Amino acid sequence: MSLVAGASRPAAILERGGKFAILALVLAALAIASIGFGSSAMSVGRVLLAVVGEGQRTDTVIVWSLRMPRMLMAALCGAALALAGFALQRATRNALAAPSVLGIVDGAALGVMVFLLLFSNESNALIVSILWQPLAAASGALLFALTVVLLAVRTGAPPLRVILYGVALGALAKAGVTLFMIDGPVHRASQAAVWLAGSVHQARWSDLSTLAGALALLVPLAFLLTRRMDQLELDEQSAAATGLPVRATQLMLFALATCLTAAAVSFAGAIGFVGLVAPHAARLLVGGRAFGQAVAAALLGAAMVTAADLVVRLAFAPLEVPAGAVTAVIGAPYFLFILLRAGRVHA
Amino acid sequence: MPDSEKPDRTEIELRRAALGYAGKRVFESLDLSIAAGRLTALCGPNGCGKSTALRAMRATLPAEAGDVLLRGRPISAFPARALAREVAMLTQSPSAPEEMTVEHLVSLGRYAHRRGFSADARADREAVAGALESTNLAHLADRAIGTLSGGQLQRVWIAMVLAQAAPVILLDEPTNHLDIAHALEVLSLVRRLGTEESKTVVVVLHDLNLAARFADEIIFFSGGRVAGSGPVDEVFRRELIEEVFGIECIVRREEASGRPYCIPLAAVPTRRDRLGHG
Amino acid sequence: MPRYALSLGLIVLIALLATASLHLGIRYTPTGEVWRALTQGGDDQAALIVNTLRLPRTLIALVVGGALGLCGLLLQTATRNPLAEPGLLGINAGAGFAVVLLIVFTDVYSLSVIALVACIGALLCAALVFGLALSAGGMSSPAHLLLAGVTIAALFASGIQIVIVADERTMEELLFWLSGGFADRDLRLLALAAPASLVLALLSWQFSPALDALMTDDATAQSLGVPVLRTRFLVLVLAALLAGVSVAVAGPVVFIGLAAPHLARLSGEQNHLVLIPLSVLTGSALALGADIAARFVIYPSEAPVGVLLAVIGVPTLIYLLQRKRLGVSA
Repeated sequence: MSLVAGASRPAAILERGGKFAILALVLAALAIASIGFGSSAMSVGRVLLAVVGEGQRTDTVIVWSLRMPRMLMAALCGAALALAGFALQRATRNALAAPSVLGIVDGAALGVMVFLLLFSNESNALIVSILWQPLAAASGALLFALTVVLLAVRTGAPPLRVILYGVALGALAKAGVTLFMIDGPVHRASQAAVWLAGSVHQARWSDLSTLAGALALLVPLAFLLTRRMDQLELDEQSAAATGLPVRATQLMLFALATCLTAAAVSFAGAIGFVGLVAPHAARLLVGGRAFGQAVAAALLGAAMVTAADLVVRLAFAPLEVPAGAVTAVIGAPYFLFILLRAGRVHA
Repeated sequence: MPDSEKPDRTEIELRRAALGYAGKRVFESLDLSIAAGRLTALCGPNGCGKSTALRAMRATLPAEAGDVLLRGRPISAFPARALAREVAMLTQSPSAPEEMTVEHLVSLGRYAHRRGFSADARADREAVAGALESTNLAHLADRAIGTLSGGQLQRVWIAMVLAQAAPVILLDEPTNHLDIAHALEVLSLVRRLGTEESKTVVVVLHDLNLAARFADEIIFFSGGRVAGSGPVDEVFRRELIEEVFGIECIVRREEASGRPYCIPLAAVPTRRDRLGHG
Repeated sequence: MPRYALSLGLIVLIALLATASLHLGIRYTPTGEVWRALTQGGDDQAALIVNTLRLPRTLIALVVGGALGLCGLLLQTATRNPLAEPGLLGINAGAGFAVVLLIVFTDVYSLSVIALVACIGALLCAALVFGLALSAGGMSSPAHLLLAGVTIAALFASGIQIVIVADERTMEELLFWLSGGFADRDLRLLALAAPASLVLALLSWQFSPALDALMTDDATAQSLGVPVLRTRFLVLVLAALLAGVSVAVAGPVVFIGLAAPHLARLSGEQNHLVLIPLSVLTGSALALGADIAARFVIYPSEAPVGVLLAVIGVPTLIYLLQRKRLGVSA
């Protein structure tokens, strides 16, 4: 409205647009770097040529069969985890909420372990399609998320305590995972150990298409809910007074976050702290309006995991340090930083 | 000025409403009605159920038995957003992130009017601008709410409620934590809503004299029932106040405005205190 | 006197558990053989199993369990925070990280140096966590303290992961140590840890009256004559040292420090003169019980004792969270 700070408006829009453009550029640069670096490095030109299929044959094969799926998997998982964290932070109205903190990631991991255990035959081969694995992850995640929600609703717990329930249940799920790893088939266990730490180095196109399909459903849903998320910035009573069905919205957001987490975790394992850091950094960058923040968070999340995967390959190769370890080393101090300055205004 | 005009239309009515929170009844059977276009103050001692009654009128606290009616229709029959377009409420200690801008917070009041992605439609922008204008906040629109003073912040919250453009406005202790100048400023604003925009306003007030000064009607609660209700001149009586609050007091009339006011003298020990259970 | 009956009962329980721990395993060893192995030694299989496997883990569980139980009690009282626990607060992880750094980056294998480094790591980490919590929400905000701790633990866990992957030489050995447990640990470390724990426990006992006073608010404790800040600082140092010692012996073991003091308090006892020994005994009993159960839940394999402790600890944590008020000012 022109009456209200009208003069600054176009400039502000331009500034925000610029920030999104910069984010997208950073992500693109990371993607190119991620494709370019590896056991044999390629120049930017060669990468681009190979991507469009005009480069040398070997380049094209390496890029399309190995590095592209890995890069895309990192980016998509990062975006999914970031959106999941964003939805949770809005649902609980707490900047400290994230899928890894709320026990959802551990729940998904437990779901996958149980799945591997139930459907493996004597020689450790799966007897059902691997495509069912995301479903198992989602069931585990949903089960634990639901338990956290039920505990919270039953006791009418304030947001901070909801997170502590998540921490507690996460510990339980972790214990279960450990137990299955020791008792399960050895081959599966070592595979699971790498996967649990959060890594994208085994990405395949078939996994990628499943993940992309799930995200094609979930991401639009997330953006449809952004207006409701804006209302949840108010305290619950005020939000309800403006006409928002608060409980229903919170449940929807929880379910959305759980499905997004399960999708990412079932392919890339437990990459921690992305869902925590990306939405919060996005807020600092583009402000608190849900729509813009969601876009920025998804871009940041994608960039974060792509960068972590790049660091792992550059700094530790040929060792397979999981990307999740790198995101944790960045994310944990950031979490403490948020913890130190969490504050809300009361009238 | 407020008395004898046309016979009042009833905006909100509670009939034999049982209200309370998990395991604790506040009202067994509450009957009261709020007249349309008037400013009604809810008064009473701590814990008498003022806020409970207010929450029942906005259906954020459903009645366990009995009826709550908005213009004759059960309030529970309204869908959430439709109800929000009819009744706006400012809760007792609302909160929002401190870096949120004033304008953004006020625009959240438009939630019930928006559809899908139609970002900031004209009517919304005008309502927000109007709310900022009438609360005298236009110059602060881009400020973060964490940087405002207590009085300014309270005006922002009221602006959000105004942006909701509902004919009925409920305010739970809007003068809480405000010094007397800010309290007067806020209540004059609330008073203006009643007279200029013919809104129905219900406000929980702690301060009896502020209630007598600004309200058209007062409802006194005491011990889980309505102890008295009606136009200020009829209910603002010494005997009633003494009974409701358990005090001794004098009620006088201020000459310029003709409004009554109360000078509290002493607390009268209740029977429970005298028996030594306090 | 019920309080003596309770302590006596616990001691009898621990004796029974210890006896069971010597008898039970993949194969049951009859009492006669256990007795012969303990008194005469010998080279046959039964004697070797009892003397080199079961006796050490029984003793270690006793000492470490007791130390952790006491550590939890000290932390909970000193911070007035019912959720305080060396595992959840990240103190164990800090000690673990310090030891991993030592082993990976130096050639030092002296046991006393390892124990010392674990204690330093625990102290530094405790200082970090309490410092953070203090500036975030005050010591008496249980949630902030716990969140700071859990995050620090995650941070150190990732640090350990990176350092270990980078150095394959020590990986297997360290991974085993880091999994936390009482089996197959170095008994020589216990020779160091047992007297140290005993001294620390006696020192803590000295603080009993001050700890009782600390259960009120700071101002009241001050007016009762307790030098609040100094006492709290010293008690936290004692707690961190206890955690460091137990990590050096058994690796990071979680949840005993949380559950043991709360179980001890179920007796209705509030006096630290009694609560301290009760927490020690309860911690020992929990550790022994979990260690025995770990041998059987996925028989014939052995489960990590941390899994069993999580099964006890998580419900405790949830129960504590469900209570309306956490500590003084939740």
